[in-house]
Amino acid sequence: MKKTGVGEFEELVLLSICVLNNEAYALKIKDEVETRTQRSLYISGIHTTLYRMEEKGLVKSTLGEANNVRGGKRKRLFTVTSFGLKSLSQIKQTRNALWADIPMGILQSINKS
Amino acid sequence: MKETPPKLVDWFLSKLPNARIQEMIDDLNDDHQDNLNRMSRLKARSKYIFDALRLSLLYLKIQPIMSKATFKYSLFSHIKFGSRSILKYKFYHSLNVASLALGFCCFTIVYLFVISQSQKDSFLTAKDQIVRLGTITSDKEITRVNSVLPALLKNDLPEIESFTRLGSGQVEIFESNEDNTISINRILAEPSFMDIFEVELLLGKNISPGSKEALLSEQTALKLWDNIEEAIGKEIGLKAYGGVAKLTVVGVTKNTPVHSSFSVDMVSAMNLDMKIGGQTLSLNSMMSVLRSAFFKVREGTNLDSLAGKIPELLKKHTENKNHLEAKYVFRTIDDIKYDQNISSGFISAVDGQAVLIFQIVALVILILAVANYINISTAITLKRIKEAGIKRIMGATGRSILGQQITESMIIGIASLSLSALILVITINWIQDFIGFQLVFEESVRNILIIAGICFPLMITLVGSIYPALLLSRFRFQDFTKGKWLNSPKSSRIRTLLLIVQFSIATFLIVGTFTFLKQLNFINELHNKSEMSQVLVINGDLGTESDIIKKKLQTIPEVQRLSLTTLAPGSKARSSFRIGTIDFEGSFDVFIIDENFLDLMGFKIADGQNFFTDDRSRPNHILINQALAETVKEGTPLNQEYETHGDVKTKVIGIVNDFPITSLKEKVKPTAYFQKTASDYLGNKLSKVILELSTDDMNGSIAKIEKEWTLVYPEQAFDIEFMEDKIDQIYVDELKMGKLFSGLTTIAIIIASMGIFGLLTYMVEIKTKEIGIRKVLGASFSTLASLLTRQIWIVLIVALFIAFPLSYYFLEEWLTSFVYRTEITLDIYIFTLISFVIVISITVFSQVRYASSLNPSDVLRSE
Repeated sequence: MKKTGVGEFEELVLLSICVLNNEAYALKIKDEVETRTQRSLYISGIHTTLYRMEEKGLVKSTLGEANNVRGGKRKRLFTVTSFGLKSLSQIKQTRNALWADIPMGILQSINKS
Repeated sequence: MKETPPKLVDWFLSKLPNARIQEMIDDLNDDHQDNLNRMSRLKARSKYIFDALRLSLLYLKIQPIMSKATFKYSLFSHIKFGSRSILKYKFYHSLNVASLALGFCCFTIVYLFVISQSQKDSFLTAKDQIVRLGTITSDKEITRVNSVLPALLKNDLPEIESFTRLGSGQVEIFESNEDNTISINRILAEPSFMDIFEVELLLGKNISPGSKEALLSEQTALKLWDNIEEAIGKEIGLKAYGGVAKLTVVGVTKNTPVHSSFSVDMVSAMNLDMKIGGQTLSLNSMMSVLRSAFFKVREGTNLDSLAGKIPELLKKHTENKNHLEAKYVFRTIDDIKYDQNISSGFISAVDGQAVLIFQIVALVILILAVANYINISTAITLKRIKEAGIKRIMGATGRSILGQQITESMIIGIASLSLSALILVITINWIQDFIGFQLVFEESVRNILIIAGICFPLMITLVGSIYPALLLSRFRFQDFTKGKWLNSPKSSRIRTLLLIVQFSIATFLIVGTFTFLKQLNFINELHNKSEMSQVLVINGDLGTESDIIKKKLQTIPEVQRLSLTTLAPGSKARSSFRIGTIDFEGSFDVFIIDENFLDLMGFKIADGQNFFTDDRSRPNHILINQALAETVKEGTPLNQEYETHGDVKTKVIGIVNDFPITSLKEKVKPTAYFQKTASDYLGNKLSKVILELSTDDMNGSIAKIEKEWTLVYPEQAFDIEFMEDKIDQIYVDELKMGKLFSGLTTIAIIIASMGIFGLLTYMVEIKTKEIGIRKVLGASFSTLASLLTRQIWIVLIVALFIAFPLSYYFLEEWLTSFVYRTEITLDIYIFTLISFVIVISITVFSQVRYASSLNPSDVLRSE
């Protein structure tokens, strides 16, 4: 497997950005990850991760249109770059391959629990 | 209401000059608003601060102040030079580290306890909605209300969601074998108790009202059975009030969290339909039962206005003035847990005033340590002006010198932090045992505390180092060439000011401690504690053999005096019997004593006389104390006869000075002292023998007494106590507080004297040359001493002028909380003054002696 350099939390954030499509800004990403994983996150953690991933080239950001919600302040929207998408698909492939090779007995006990 | 985030942090963040970071901060503020709605304010705020810290780190990453390589290099060189200079002035710096470490340590310990106490019960989701109803009378607060009141209020007031009446107390339970009992805290309550106090059921069902059912906590159940499933359906016996009751276990509850101010070992149903004379109780009944009552009110209820509505509501149900004119009050758990006067056993309370005093003392000690640090590091800085001047010539910028200073202060900060952490780790268990309070924190709070515990001391050190650092970095080279460096007037003014602050604080603490000890001493005097060193008390049921044991014990040569009574002063001493008569206002306590008691205990007769020992003695003679004498309705009680019990008219033959039997925080109660002959009628059996011994071999004498005792009472255990211990037990809390207070004061004095010592050493050092010249010109030792110490004496006088009136004011305020109190006298102040003069003189003279012993030619030749 090629090393993608995407950590577990980064993967979650990347996937959430994909799920949110064109509406991915920091607060919303935080909510999404929180509801999906049911853990309590820090907004600073999201920002740090987003900034790091932007440096790595996994995501890119643009300033969105102003709206009334935040007193007319513009939101920074994040999208996954093609490199990011490629990394995600690589991770998925690796995982799928691993899942496919799990023996039947173990797979059944995983499904049960 | 829109809550604002912590202002200081917000201001700091708004100063970060980066558009991207500002965007993130906007997000952060939005997030904070959300969090405020979702979680407690404290949690949201701590989350905010944590986020702010992380964003500041991110800011450093986005916009580094200097490149990584430069930063690494300059940090390295700063640390290198810093350690070098610290090693050079290691004496002063070790004073610094020691005083800072002591200061941090005291501060951290005290605040850990304070925070732990305030965090108690935070697991309750609606802590502020749980309230207890009570009434306020002219002199105290009654924590219980008429048992029928809660149900009426629940019907009439929509703000009340649910209620439970409650009682608690220590009982003994056993499963089948009566000898194998365990002692637990039993709570008598209604089923709603479980919801209100959020006690979770692990197994089984809740109790049903008025039943013989009980719930045990997991912990209690495991003491009786191997696993909790076994407990369900079992019958247990409960010993209380001299009887045994049978209860069925119907459920097992989760243990109450350790950080709660109440503990639930066992809950059983309260019997509520009490009928008296076949009638159900109501507000109009002749008899009433008082219970403490807890309510759960709706969120956002104004408790004062709710309590104000109660008398109006009750008009429908009763005309009894006692109910209508009472002043009702609701108390939250937080109110109760900081006020021992209104806690009633179920919720354990600490002394709020003591907590406040310790907080102030801890803060003051920290200020003292920081003042010390600023003072000494400024002194060192001034010594290093020459070094800074040379650095300047070599091309160092002000910023790099500043950086150098800050790095140094960080090294000092980290060193003292580690030292204080070490002290803390070593002593914390011992301190917890001593105070009798376990530190328990939730995980989230603990993390914050650890971060704060590291950041806060470092920040304090940093703040403390700003002044000397600025002094050094702003220093201009021309000042150096002009020789204006060692005694810059501005710095000496600031140092003098700090010294005054230190002296004032130390004075305040010394005076405070002395007054505290004086009050304790005063209390012991009222108890005649000094005469009690050889006084013993034997507890037991003396019964009809009382004369026999008296004679037997009198034959033991070591026994000087002895007295058979129902009374021996102690923390639990109270009369089991009260009498009310028409001749006195209110009822009074009754004790039985004999003619030796007053003499033995050292209490004096104010008027009249003690019981007769010859044939003038009459069974109806009694003594009363002054408090009772004051409540007589007509005339003077001496030699008067009163109907107290039955047909007998008792005659007051003497009035005794008020003497304390329990804590002196309460007023001595009106009391009458009867003779043994009255005991049959009063049902107040002689239960104590008080003995005064005169012996060098205490154990041997006690063995002799025990031998006699077991001969007369073979079936009774020999239960003996020392009177001194009994008196100390009354004031366990006060004695502990006294010890803690003296401990903290000692630390404060150590810190202050380290400061004085360091500063004097410094002054002597910079003045060695001057001293040399003066010696050459023929100055004597006393001239030199006065030259060096004049300033310190002035500082001392100014500090005393500030501290004496302030301490007088605050201590006077504190002493008013005692019913029996000592006075703040001049001798305390004189003693403080003298001890200061002695400490300063010793330090000064040792230093001056050193300075003047130097050979002037050596001193003047250098350079």
